[in-house]
This record gives sequence, C-alpha cells and structure tokens, in this order.
Amino acid sequence: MKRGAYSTHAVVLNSVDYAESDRILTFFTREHGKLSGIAKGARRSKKRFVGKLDPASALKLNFFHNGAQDLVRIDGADLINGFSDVKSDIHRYSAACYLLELTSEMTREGQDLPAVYGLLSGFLSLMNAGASSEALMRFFEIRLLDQVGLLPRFDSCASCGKGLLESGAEAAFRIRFDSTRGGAICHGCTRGLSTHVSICPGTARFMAAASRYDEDKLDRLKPGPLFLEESERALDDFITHQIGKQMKTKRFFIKLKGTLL
Amino acid sequence: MQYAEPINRLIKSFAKLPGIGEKTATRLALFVLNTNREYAEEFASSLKAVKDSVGLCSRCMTFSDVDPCVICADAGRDKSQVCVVSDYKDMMAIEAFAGYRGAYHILHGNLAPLKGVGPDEIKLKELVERVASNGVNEVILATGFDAEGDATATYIAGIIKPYNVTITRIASGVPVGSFIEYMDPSTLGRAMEGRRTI
Repeated sequence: MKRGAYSTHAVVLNSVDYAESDRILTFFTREHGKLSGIAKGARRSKKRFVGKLDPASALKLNFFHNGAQDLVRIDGADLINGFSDVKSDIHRYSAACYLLELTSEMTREGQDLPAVYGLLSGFLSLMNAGASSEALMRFFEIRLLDQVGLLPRFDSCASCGKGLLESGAEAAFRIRFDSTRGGAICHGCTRGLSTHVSICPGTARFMAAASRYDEDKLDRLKPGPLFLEESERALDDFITHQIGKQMKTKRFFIKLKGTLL
Repeated sequence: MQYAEPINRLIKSFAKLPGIGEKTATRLALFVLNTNREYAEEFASSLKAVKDSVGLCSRCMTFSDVDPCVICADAGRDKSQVCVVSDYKDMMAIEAFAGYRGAYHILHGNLAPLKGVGPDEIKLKELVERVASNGVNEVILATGFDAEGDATATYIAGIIKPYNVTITRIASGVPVGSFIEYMDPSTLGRAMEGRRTI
C-alpha cells in the first residue's frame, strides 16, 4: 500500500486493548483486504470511537498508512451497522466471532479479496436477521474456503477425480472425507487412508450444493441435524488441518456447551 | 554487548507487564538500578506483600487483604443488592461515585469468544451460588457496554433468572453534560430504549 490517507468500508475482526487507552484493531476492508491499525485514545474517546470498534461492526473507516509500518493509524470511524441483535445473545455473538476469526485465519494482510468482504458482511447481516447460526457457520466455511482457493472436494474423489454421487452403488455407502488429501475419497483410493471423517452421501451433496448456491439465497437452504453434525465434523477437521491449530472460538463453543451453569 | 544477567532478568520481568514493551522495560530497569537502595527495597517488598497478603474475598471475589473484605463486612451496606462488575477497576470506579450502598460481585473478566474465555474461567459459578443461597433480592448487571460486556450481561441474566431475583442493567445513553446533536446513533438509540418516566 502506498503512503497516504484512505477511506474504506470495513468489518472489525478483532479489537484488543493496548497501552493506557489505545486499541489495536484487525479489520477486513472492501478495497485492501485484511489490515491492522491502532486507534489512539480509543478507550477514552467519547465521540470519535465510542461504541464503534467492537468486533463484528461494519464501519466507514478513515486511516493513514505511512507506507512502511504494518500498523495503520486509524483517524476516524462511522458506524454503518453494529449488528446489535447478534451481540445481544452470547450464542449468536460467539457464532459471529467464529466468522471473524475464520476470516482472519484464512487470509493474509494485504491480500486484495473484495468478495470476502461482501461474504463476511452479508453473513453477519443474515445472522443479525435471525437466520440459524449453525447452518450459517457451515455455509460460511464452505464459501470462504472457496474464495481463498481451498475448497475441499465434496462430490468427487480428491485423489482420482471420480464422481461419488452419480452412481447408486457408491451413493449407498458412507463417504470418507480426508482433510490431508483435500476432501472426499472414493472406495478405490482408500489405500493408506488412516484417519478420516465419515459422512453420508446426503451431507456431501448438501455441502457441494452450498458451495454453488447463490449467496443471497443461502438462507433458503434448510439443512437437517445430520448435515449440521456431519458437516461440522468434516469442515472442522479440514480447517484445523489447514490452519494447524484449534481456533479460540471453537474452544469457546466447547466451554459453553460443557459448562454446568 | 549484553546487559548483566540480573539486569536482563529485571527487563524481562518488566516487559511482562501489560502495555510495557522491551524499550520501556529497559528504561524502568535502568531507573531501578540508578535509584537509591531504600526505594528498590521498598518496591521489592511491596511486590512481595501484595502477593503474600492480598487474596480474593470469599463472598464478592474482590481483591482484599481481609476476608470478608471491608465492603462485605460493612453492616451499613445492603447485602441483598449485588452489583456485578467485570473487574476490580470497575468496582473502584463505582465506589468513587459513593452513591451506591449495596454489595458487589467481581467476575474478573467477561465472556470472550475471540479470546477463548468461557463461563468457567470467570467468577460466574460463585455468583450463581451466592444468588442461590438466598439473601439476594436484586442483581445489578454493571458489565461494560461493549460487545463482550453486553453478551456477558445477557448470559448472566439467563442463568440467574430461575432464582426469582430482580435483575437490572445499569442505564446507558447520553452522558451528563453532553449535547444530543453530537451523539452517535447507537448511543442515542440506547438512550431512547432506556428512557424512563419522570
């Protein structure tokens, strides 16, 4: 990025306190991809930044980049959408945070990915409108993996390319999903396959459909509990393999489910 | 050229403090080195004393050198009213206002999905036990109004609802002495939602 002042639409991915009263933000912009910046005095601010820098906020952001440092200087922000309904419930808020963390983990700073900005803000709007968080998380994973060029194979073998869902014989069996090989594996290619996630053909078909369906119509897909359970296992395995660690929001989900409170 | 090992250790210790980088840590370590011996000894003994004698109050979870803490032991305070705050600094801010005469509960954090902080890592269980053990009529949720604070407040409201206590949230909106025309939309929205009859 060249030295200069910029004004852009952005979604806040994360926001952490820094020094006495500053905040360091990671945000995803429409024009410049993922960036990090410092908002000086943000925690003390009574007008310029108050209530605007929370994660999962869509902003019109003004910042200055000096052309050398990684961190831009955030000069001002106008709230476009605070997605306040998402933040009023810990389950929906944590699901929204998952979208943010996944976006952050799957992209690099400075990568120009305007479609990812649209994807993220669109899914946050759907979540804010009350669509099922579980289904949206799965659809988001599939669409984001597609945007960053890492979409696994769902309906054809990742090793030999053979279609898995056309013939009745294969469709009658469970499908082996191997994250290390890049997706579904046909019966003939299972040699040497050690760990894998087993999914039913219906789940594979649904995941393939979700990767092709029009984004603004995704909320019309009504997946059943089997799809939600199996696709979560398969995609979690794949994403963990890609980023090499368990995500913090995933750990949070486990803690929230496991608490006795 | 490296600093002598004891200086290096002190720099590393300072650098672990929040908001302190390597350069500031070095400046602080060199200050300690140049200052008089009495100050350095007093500083060291304060650090030791704070860890030796300050613990958590078994009722409200605040930092205290006595158990129960001064606030919990104060007979003049209304123990049936419990103000829930995210951390010790928030409690001190409310205490500075001096108008509140109830008790507190310090959570020592908020639920934070992006940091992986779940319900069992803040003092929520202790709050539920306190509410369940009777004697509490009102729980005032005074966590922050950022996303984590709000989500924590709604989560707490959900888990203590079955105990039949009044649950209130501190007001938010237009600050005293400010002008409506300069307020941002979210603050004004909150102020309108939280309006009250006079």
